Amino acid sequence: MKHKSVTHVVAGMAALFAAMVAGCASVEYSTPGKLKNVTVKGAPGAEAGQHVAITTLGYNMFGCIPLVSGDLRWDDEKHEIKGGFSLFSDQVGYRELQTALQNIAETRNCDLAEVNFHDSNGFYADASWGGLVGMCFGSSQMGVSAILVPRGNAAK
Amino acid sequence: MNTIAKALAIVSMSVVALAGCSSYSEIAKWDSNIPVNDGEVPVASFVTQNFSYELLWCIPLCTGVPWTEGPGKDGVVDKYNVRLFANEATIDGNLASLNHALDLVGSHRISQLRTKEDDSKAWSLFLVNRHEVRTQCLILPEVPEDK
Repeated sequence: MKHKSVTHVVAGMAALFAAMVAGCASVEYSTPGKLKNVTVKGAPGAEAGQHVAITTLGYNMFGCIPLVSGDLRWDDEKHEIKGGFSLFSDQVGYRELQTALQNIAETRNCDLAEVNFHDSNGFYADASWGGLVGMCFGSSQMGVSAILVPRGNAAK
Repeated sequence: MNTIAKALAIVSMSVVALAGCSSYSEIAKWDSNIPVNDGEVPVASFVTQNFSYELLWCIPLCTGVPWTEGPGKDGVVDKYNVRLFANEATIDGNLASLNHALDLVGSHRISQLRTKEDDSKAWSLFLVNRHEVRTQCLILPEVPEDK
């Protein structure tokens, strides 16, 4: 009986950890053609492009000790971002986002337009039992969005 | 009594989740002659946001529906139109709303397009993820063909 409850606790914690790290790094593209009726000022050819948003998220203790963070790894074989995570390191930053965006643009032979970064920080007081545990944990999130403009179109 | 309390708690949580699971769009007219950046006066600013809730990050529970039809009241649409077990809080959904807004305004020229995705794991200690996608831009007047 005791063995069973330990198994349940371990399984529960594993599920919680999986939920915690899942989606710590994400890349979402719009379907090609979604911008075809839109003219973007200063970005000729954007109507043939795709809108992309990259987001990374990390957790820390007391705002300074990294616990887990999203990791935008570049997959050389698939030529695509592989969203993963890193333990006890902080991979949430503008440099990482910028590199990911540049890699995506280079691989797809695109220029970039409307590059916009954003970030936010938070604490989890609202998620804790009694507010005490949650106050220890914080998160930081950074992201960037842009339009990938195919180079052939941009030159027109 | 305990059962009633539990049932009430579940119902109230569901109501909060469903109420929060709405899409919001606004076309705010630029009622001024103040130019932006290089002397061009925008027609309006536009923002659209949509939410979805996912159990354990992968099982969609409910989602707001993007604004793709109807005029809205004074350019504002706050839609409590919830779809269960689906996820429509996506860039594609927001761009569909943007296209609809541009059709309504009558100009398809924009600037400062920006999309922010936000995941809030604070909900129920990571079990339920609230996913938000927000897209905003300035809508500029169409440039005449001869320019």
